[in-house]
Amino acid sequence: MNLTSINLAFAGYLLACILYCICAIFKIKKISVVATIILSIGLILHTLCLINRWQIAGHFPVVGLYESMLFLGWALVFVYLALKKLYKLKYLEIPVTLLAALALGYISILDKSIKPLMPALKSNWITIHVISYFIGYAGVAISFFISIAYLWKVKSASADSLTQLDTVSYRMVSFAFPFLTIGLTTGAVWAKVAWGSYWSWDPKETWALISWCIYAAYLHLRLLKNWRGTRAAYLNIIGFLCVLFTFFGVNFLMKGLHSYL
Amino acid sequence: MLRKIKERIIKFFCSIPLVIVLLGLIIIGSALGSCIPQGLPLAEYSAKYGIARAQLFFLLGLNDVYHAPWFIALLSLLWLSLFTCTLRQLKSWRKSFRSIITHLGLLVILLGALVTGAFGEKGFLMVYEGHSQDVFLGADNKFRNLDFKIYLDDFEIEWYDSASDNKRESRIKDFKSKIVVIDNGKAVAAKIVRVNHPLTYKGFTFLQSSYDKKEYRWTGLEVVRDPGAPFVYSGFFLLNIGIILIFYFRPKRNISEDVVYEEANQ
Repeated sequence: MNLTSINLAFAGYLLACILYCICAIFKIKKISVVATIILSIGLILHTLCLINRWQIAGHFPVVGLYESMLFLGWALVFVYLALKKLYKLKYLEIPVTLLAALALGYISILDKSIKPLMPALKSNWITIHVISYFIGYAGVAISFFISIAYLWKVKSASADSLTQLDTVSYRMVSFAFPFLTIGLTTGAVWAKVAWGSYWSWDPKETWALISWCIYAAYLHLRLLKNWRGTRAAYLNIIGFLCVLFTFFGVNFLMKGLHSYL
Repeated sequence: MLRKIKERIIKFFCSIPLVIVLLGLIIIGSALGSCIPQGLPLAEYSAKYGIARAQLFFLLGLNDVYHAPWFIALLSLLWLSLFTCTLRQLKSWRKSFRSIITHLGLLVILLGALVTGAFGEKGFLMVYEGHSQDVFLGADNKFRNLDFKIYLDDFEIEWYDSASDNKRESRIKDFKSKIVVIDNGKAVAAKIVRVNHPLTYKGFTFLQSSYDKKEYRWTGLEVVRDPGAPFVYSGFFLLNIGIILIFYFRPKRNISEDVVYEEANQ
């Protein structure tokens, strides 16, 4: 059942992506409604997969690369659909659906077996830590795409729609920043309980802190020094590149305690 | 005169450009520390990077960035800056209590880190089954005495599958050290210490960290005394509350960021 529904979710995301592309090229609004319905159905199936995996594995499915990508893809689509109306998100249908489809396509070639949980990972702190981080990551990823769209359109779009993009990218950061903070601090509490110190300058910790500082700087510059538009977009993009490095780069390039992926 | 000096100091420390420069330098320092292996002897750096660069690392403290005087100085300046800003905001606390709570959290966290660094202890204690131990090896490679004893009643490993021929590290479900604390000849505390389930007595925390890989006869416990931790935890709490208040519980009229901007500028 799990395999079928995950394949269906993958197909749903891919189909939604294709429909959004058609909609963007031929400017037919009605298709986008159909695409959103298909995307939502995909998310429901994806949610069922997560619950199914949770039941079988006996822990919240965020351990190992397979489960991480499964949950990260889910968080991206969930955050997007949940905030779409509220924040009037634009231009994001294609990158979000494409990334979600890629995540599900990628995990289909990964080892799906449920690995026994190593003792250090048996903690409620890690569940809160990872869930908040993934939701936060989904938020800053969406903000990143909006900043890219801003830079893309900076010469062609009207001032109004540019301001809107700029504001929405800020709002997505302000949505995500509390989650990044909760993730960072619960991670430290977990480290204290598991290893004895709340901070040990492990590369993953260091880069998580660096990303957090960049977003803190972004928020302060924006709110107090009125950084808008292009400058803010570049800083936001740098912040997300640091997040990417924290999540992927550190594991491949540096040794540390976070080698669970 | 005095008042003027005070105003100047506040103006210098409570400025966004200063905070941004400090944050930038801290980011660069941290990134360097994550790229260059930390805490190795000079010989290993010169073998890896050449003698000239190794000496430069030592000169600049890049072999131990996070404890280098310049890095500590940057953190202290950031603390002072946050402190003066928070003081200044106190005047309009009704409007800026969200950001006061957030910055207070950061101040307390950094203070806690200072306390941990100055008064914290770390070490390793090894004890055999049926024996007690009151000496542990400190981080400085010197032995230290506890004024109570740690008795190991039993050490046990739980495996994910019972098949004995499949006992690999990855199949380990849990390490269990049945510990009894003996103080003045009396058993005062008992706990099965497992990973993620440490035992704390008289300010010392004992965490499961190592074990006898051949016969499962002894256990290795990490010994930590960290008087800064309560500060850090309180700081985490304040920081999270403050940030959640800022971004999720602003008054309705403040939803546009411009109002936040005005608010923060007061």
